[in-house]
Amino acid sequence: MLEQVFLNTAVNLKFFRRSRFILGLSLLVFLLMAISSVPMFIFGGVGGEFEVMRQVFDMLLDYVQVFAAIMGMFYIHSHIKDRSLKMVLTKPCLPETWLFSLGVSSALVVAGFHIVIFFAALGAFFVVGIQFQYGFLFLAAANLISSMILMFYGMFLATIIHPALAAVVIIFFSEGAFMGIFELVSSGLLARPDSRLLSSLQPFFELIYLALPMYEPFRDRYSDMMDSMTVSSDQWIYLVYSGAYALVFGTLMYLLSLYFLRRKNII
Amino acid sequence: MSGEILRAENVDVVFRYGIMRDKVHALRDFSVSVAEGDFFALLGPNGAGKSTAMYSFMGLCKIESGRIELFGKPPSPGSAMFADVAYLPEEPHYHMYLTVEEALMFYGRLYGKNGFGRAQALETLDRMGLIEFRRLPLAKCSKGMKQKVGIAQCLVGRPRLLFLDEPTRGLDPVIVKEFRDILRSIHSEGATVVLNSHILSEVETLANRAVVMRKGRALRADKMDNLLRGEKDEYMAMIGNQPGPEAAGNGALPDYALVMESNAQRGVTQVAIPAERFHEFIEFTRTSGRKVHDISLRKKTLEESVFSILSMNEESNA
Repeated sequence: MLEQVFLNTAVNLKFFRRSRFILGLSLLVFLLMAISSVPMFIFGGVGGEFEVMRQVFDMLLDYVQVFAAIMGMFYIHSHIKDRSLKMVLTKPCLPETWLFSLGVSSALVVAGFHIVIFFAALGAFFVVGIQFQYGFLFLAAANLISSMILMFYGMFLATIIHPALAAVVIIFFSEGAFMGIFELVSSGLLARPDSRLLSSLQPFFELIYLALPMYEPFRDRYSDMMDSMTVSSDQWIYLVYSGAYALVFGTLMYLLSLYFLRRKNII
Repeated sequence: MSGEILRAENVDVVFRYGIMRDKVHALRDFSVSVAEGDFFALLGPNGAGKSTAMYSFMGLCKIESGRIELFGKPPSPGSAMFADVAYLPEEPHYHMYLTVEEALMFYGRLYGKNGFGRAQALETLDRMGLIEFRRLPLAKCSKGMKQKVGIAQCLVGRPRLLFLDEPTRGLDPVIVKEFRDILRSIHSEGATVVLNSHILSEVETLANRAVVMRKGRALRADKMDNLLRGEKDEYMAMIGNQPGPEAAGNGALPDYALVMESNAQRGVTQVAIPAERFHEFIEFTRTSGRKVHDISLRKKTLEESVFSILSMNEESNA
C-alpha cells in the first residue's frame, strides 16, 4: 500500500510538472501578481517597505489559494475524463490508494508553493534590512490550511460535477455568503417578527451556513494581526484548531469522494 | 481445462445519459462462463455490448441486475484479484504525460510483483520494438505505438487472465504476428484470455470458445469447433465440363451435385457434393470419365457462422 502511494504520488507530481494547463495557470498567476504589485513598488505602501512586503505576501498567498482549489478540481477531473483511471484500477491498486495519493501529491505541491513564498518573504526581510515578523509565518501556515480545505473541497466537487460548476459552487455557495444571507434574514425577522416567509427561511439558511465548509476557520480570532503582522501567544493555538478542522474536513471529503468514485462507471 | 474463472449470470447493464437520464440497455440478460485456460472471444457487430461486457467482468461498470464472479468473487476494481489480471483497453486511455518507459514502469510496479524492475521493463520494450522510443511521451506516440505500450503493460504483470479489447487494432502485420505468437505462448502456459475482436479470422485461429452477441444479448455461446461446424458438411469439387470418351450413359451430372460455377473457357465446373454422397460422386467421375481437378471438404468460416447466427436472430425478431 505504502509503495503504491509513493508510486502514484510520483506519477501525480509528474502530471503537475508536465501539465500545460497547470503551467499556464501558474504563469497567469505570476503575471497577475507581477502586474498588480508594480504600483506598490513604484508608489510604495502607506507604511513603506514593510507595507509593500505585507501586501505582496498577502496577495501571493491569495493566488496560491485559488490555485490550490483549481488544482484539486483539475487533477481528478482530468483523470476521470481521459479515462486513464481505469488503467490504475485494473491493477491491484484500490481507489482508496489512488485518491489518497492524489491528496498527498496535491498537498505537497500546495505546501511547496507556501514554503517558497515564505522563504522569499524571509529573504526579502534580510535584503531590505527590517525585522522579521512572525505574523508572516502565521499567515503562511493559516493560508496553507485554507488552501488544503479548498483543494479537498474542489477535489470532492470535481468527482461529482464538472469543474466549471464546481468553481461556481466554491465561489457563490460559500459559508460567508450564507452567513450574510442568514444575518439579513435574521435582522428582517427582528423588524417583522410575524413574517412566515422569513421565519421559515431563517433555519434553512442557517442549516446551509452550518453545512458549508469554512474556507478560513477561526479567521476572526486572528484577523487583528493582519496589519501589524505580530502574533500574540494565545493566537497560535488557532492554527492548531484550523489544522484539526482541515484534517476532519479533508477526511470527510476523502470519504465522500471515494463513495462517489466507487459509484461511477470507470470506463 | 479446470475450474471456472469468470461467470456472468443474467447481467443487465443500463447506461443513463443526459438531463432526462435516458436509458440505454448495454447488456440484457447476458450470461457466459469462462473456464480456466479458455481462449474466449466476444463477437458481434458494433454496439453489441462486447466492451461493456468486458468492463462489467472487471467491475468497471455497475450492473443493474444479475451476478458476475471473477475468480469466484464479485469483481472489485483495484482489489487483490487484479494481481492476476491484465487489461488492454480498446482506446489508448493511458497516462499520456508519461514517457513510454515511465508508463510501463508505473503499470508494472502497480502489480507489486517481485522481480519487476527497469531491466524487465526494457526487455519488454525491446520485445515490442519500442526501446528506441522509450523516452517519448505517450501523447506524442502514434496509435500503433500506444497499442504496443498497452500490450507491453499486459505482459509485465505475468497475468493468469487477460482481457484484450481489440488488441491488434492499428498494429503493423509484423507486430500482429508477433503478438499472436506471444498470445499463443501465454495461453499455452495456462493463462486464460478473454478477447474482443472484429477480425474474425484472427479469432478463428486463436479462440477455443466464443459468444456471439447482438444488442447486449448473448445469442450463442459455444466451442469454436461447434460454431465452425455447418448444418451439413459438403465437398467442393472442380471437375471437367465434358464426360470422357469411355463414359457410361450420357455422363450428365447427378441431381445431388449442385453446380456452383461453370467456366466454359477453362472447361471446368465447380460443384458442391453432400458429404454422404462423396463416394457415390467419386464413382460417378470414374464412370463418366470426367477429370477431377480438385476436391476438398468445405469448412464453414467463423464469419459465415457469425453472420448466420446474427441473421437467424434478425429473422426470429422480425
